[in-house]
Amino acid sequence: MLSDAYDLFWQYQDTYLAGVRNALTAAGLGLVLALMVGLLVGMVRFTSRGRLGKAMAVYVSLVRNTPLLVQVYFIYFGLPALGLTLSAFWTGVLALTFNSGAYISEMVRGGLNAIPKGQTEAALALGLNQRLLLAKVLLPQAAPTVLPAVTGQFVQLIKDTSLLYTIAVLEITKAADDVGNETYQFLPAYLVSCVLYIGICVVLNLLVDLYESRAGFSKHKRA
Amino acid sequence: MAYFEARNVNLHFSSFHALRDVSLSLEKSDVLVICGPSGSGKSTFIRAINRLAGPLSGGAMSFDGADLARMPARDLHRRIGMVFQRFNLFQHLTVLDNIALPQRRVLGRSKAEARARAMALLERVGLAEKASVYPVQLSGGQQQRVAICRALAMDPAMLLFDEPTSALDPEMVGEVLQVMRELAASGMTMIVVTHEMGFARELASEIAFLESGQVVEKAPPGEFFAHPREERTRLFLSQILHHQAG
Repeated sequence: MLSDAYDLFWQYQDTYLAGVRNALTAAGLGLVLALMVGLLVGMVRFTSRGRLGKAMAVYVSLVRNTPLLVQVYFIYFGLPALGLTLSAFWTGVLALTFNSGAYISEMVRGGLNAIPKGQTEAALALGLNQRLLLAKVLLPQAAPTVLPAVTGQFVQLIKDTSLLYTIAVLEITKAADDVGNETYQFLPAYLVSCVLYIGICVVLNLLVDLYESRAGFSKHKRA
Repeated sequence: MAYFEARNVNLHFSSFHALRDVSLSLEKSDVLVICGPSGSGKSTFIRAINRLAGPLSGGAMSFDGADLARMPARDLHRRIGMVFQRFNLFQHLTVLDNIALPQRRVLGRSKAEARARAMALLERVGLAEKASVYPVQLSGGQQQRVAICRALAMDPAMLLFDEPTSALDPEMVGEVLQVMRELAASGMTMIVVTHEMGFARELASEIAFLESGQVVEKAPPGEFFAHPREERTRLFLSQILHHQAG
């Protein structure tokens, strides 16, 4: 079977590589956008006890308590109902952003909460406003603990792209399914996708580990 | 009206009545020392001055003729500096940047100007050679001296000290008190929460003894130590002086 899979990969490498490209692009775009959403939502939830903070809490709770697949469908069918039509690919990127943004916001909030209150008090007592407090004092100190977790989220995003298969985005799983349909060799076709996921994710996880072991600067500066 | 004045200040933490009708005042260049057992509200009082303790539930505070509650946060924090028990230096910045950052961001000073001011202050407290190290590489006493420099760099009109030597090893208390002594001599207006009775005796214009959120007694140091009026003050003094002597 392994050799079947090997042959299938070379035979249909254009399909598979297009799938890998799309998956990585969707995950990459999703990560960048989710990082922005996550930073914003995390900071709002950290600072605001008001209505905006509550609204963000509802968003995070919605994402965390529903399956990603349901979120993908909601966005896929919901956006056109709101009069907004995007390509399947961008709908997928949006769903990944919506989903990962919530998780990243929790990492950001956790990172900010972990900084001793004295740092905030000192900054306020010196006359720094909320924006400067976050930008110059809290976020730089939270970054070394938040960044590895965010990189880990990228691995999660790559695996999550498999759900974009359901809205007909040619990513790794859809590529495998297409190959299977064409050759009726489903198991070897999926085996190829499996190896592709493992290859990409293992490399990424190794990079995260490397980053974390080299992030000595964060420990060095922490009391 | 006194330079700084608190009139019948009350403050609640939900149902806990932390400050009860606290009235204290001091004139420019005075040093007001506040002492009292833990939980007496002494830290809460000075934190209330620069809005770190939440809004007052009653009473008012004024500074240099202005109502503190109505003063914009920026002005208030620019004019009243604070030194904390646990120093609270920014851990991700060097000593120099700790002192330069607020000057640049709040006062709008240029980088060169802020650094020059920081270096001059570090020179004054004998830490010029530590300018490029991170706070974690300093002893507690050194960190507190840097924290004092950071507050001074903003050119405050009054400084609040919240138990500045309580988190220090005994052998480092002296170096911080020395800096505060020089500050007092230079005419800085200071409110100091401390149990350092030697410091209080030597430098305080007035000492206030707080308990359960109330001012039990306030008097100039000579009178405060020689003839405390209240039994509670006598008890506190005998405990703390006995401890500090031994």
